[in-house]
Amino acid sequence: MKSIGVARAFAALLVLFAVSSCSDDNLIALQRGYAVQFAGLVSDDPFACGTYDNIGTGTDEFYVDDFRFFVYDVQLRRADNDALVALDLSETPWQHDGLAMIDFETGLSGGCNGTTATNTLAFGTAPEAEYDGVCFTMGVPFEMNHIDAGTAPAPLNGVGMQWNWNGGYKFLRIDGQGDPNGTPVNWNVHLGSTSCTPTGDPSTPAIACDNPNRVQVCLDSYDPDQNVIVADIGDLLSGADVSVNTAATAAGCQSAPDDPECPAVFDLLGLDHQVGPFTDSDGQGFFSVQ
Amino acid sequence: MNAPRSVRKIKGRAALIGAVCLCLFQSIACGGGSESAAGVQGYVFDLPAGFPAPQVPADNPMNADKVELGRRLFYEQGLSTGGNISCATCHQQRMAFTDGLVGGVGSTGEVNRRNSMSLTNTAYQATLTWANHHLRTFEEQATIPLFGEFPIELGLDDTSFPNALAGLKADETYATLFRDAFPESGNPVTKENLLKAIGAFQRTLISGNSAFDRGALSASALRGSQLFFSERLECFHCHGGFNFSSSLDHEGNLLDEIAFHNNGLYNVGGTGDYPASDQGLIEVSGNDGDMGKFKAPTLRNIELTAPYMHDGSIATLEEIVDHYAAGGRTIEAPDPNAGDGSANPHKDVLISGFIISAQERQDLINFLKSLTDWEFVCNPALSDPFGNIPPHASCTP
Repeated sequence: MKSIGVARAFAALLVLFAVSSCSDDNLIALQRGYAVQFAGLVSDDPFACGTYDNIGTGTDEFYVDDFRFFVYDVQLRRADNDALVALDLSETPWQHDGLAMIDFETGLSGGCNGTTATNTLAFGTAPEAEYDGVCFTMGVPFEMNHIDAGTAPAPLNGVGMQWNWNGGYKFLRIDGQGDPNGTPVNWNVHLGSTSCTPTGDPSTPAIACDNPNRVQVCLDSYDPDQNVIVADIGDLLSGADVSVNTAATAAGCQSAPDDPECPAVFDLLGLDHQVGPFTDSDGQGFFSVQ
Repeated sequence: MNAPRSVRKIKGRAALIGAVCLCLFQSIACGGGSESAAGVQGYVFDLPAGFPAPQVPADNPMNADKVELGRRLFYEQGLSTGGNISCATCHQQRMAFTDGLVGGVGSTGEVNRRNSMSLTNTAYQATLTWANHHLRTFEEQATIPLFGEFPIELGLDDTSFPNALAGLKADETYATLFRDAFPESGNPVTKENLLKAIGAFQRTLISGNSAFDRGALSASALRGSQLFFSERLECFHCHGGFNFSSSLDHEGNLLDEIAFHNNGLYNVGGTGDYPASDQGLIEVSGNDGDMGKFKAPTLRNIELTAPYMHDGSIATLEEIVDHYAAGGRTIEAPDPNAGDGSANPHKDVLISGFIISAQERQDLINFLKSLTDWEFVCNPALSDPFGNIPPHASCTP
C-alpha cells in the first residue's frame, strides 16, 4: 500500500457529475472531490514517534510509538444553510463503506509500531458548495465492528487495530511509555466498545454494547480546501499522569469500565466513564481545526 | 475434480441427511469400524461411535488437503516472530494439546496469564478460550495467538506476517497444498485461507475412544463414574454430555449451549472478587454477575493436561477433588488474594461441597483417568510433520 499524494488524489477525484437535485429551482448540483485532511500533533509539535516533554499532569516525558484511529460518517456543513452533507468516501485500501483509517505511525524505520504506510486523508465526493464546518465520528460503526476480523476487508484487516479478545476494533490507538528515561510505565490509549452482549447465534455479531465509546465530533470554522483537522496527543493526555498505572489494570487506558486511568482520557473525548467524570468539561478536547 | 454443483450447495443438516442416503449406496465410503458423516465436498469425518458431526462453517468446507495444510501450519515455527515456536508449542499432542505449564510462553518469552487449554474436541465447543462469549469460530480465535500483543504469543504483525506468507508461497509443498486445499482461489496463499486451514485441522482433533467410551472401566473407575454422575458430587452438571463440558455446539443442535461458571477459586478479601489480574467473563461482558466466571472445559484426557484451572493454579487431580469437596478454595493471609472461595457470592450454586472418603476420591480419579484416549494422543495423523515435538513416550511407533 503506498500513500497517495494529495495532489494525485485530487486529480483522480476531480470529476464533474451532472446530477439532478431535488431543490425547488431544479439546479444541477455538481459533485466534486473533497479531502478531509488530518494531522497528528503532540502538544502542538508535529507527530513523529519519539519522546516528548511535559505530557500529562505530572509533566513527564512520554515516548509514543503508535498513533492511528478510524473515522466514519464524515459530513461537511454548508455555509449557506448549515445543512450537513455526507462526504461519500471512495473505496481504497484505507477506506471502505464510509469508514476511513487514519494512520500517522511510520512503522519500524520511524521508531514506530505498525507499518511504514501512512494515511492522513478521508476523501470522497460531495456536492460542490461552500462549507464551514465538519462532523465525523471516531470509531468503527457497530455493523462493521463485530465482523470476523480474520476475513475483514481493508482497512479492517490490519491486525494492529484488532481487539479480538474483547470483540471489535480499537477505535483509537496510541501506544506509549510514561517517564521512559526514569521509571518507564507502559501507557497506552486503546479506545473501543466494552461490555458487549452476544446474540447467541454464531452468524450474527454482538448486539448492543453497554459502552459503545464512539466519539462524535463537530468542528466549526472548517473549510476542507483550507483547513486541517488536528488531533493532539498532548491535549488528550493533559489530565492524565502517564508515569502512573494502577497495578493489575491495563497499561494506561484501554477502555476497561473500571480502570482508574480512563476517566481523564475519556473526559477529553467527551465520553462518560463508569469510574466517574474527571472534570465537568463538555465535549471533546482532542480534535481541533487549524 | 470438484463435487457436482448439487453437493457443493448443500449445507449443514441437509448435507448430513444427504450423506446418509449416499452412504447407503456407497459401502466403501462408509465402511470401517466407526460411523462417519460427510461434510460438503465429500469429506468424511472419522467420528467415534455416538458422536455427532462437528459444526463446519459454510464458508470453510472440509477437504483432506486443507486438513493436511492446516496441520503443517499448526506445527510451522515460521509463523512466529522469532521463528522459534508454533501453535503446537503450547498445544502439544503428547499432553492432549496443552503444554504442562502454568501459563504458556510466547515467542518473545512473555508468559500468558492463562493456562493453555487442551484442544481436545474444541470443534464441539460453543465458545473458545477460557472466558469470552464472543469467540465462536477457530478462524477468529486464531488471530489472537497469531497477532495478539498483550501478551505476545506468536507475535506476528502487519509487517512480519506478509513476509511469513511470502515464505509459504515460495515453498513448493505449501504452495501445492494451498492450491489443492482452495481450488477456487486464484491466489490461494492468503491470511484468510491460512486461518481456514488451521481451523479445518482443529476440527479433526476429535477424541472419543477412551477406556470409558469402550466400556472398559476398572471396578474402581466404575465406582468413580457413579460418583461423577451423582447428585452428591454434581460434577456432570458442568462437565456433562459426551464431551464432559457444558459448552456445546455440534451440527445437530439448534441452540448452542454457552455456559460459564464461577467455581469458587478466589474471594479476595471476602469481596467476591477474583484477582484484578484475571476476573474472567466480566472483563468482556461487563456484567457484575460474571465475576470469576470461566468455561468448564472438557475433562477428556484430563490426566495429561495438568496444571488445571484458568490460571494453572491447581496442580493435581487430587487437589481438584479437594477443591470441589470443600466447595471452594481458601487462600490464607498474607497472600494478597487471601479469602474463602467457598463463600464467593458469584459461585455456581451447584458447587456446595461434599463429603468424600479417601477410597472414593481415588475411585473418582481413576474414572477421570479412564477418559484418556491413547488413540488420539498417539494418532500420527495429528502429529508434528517437522519432528520438533516428540510423541508421548507411551506411543509405539
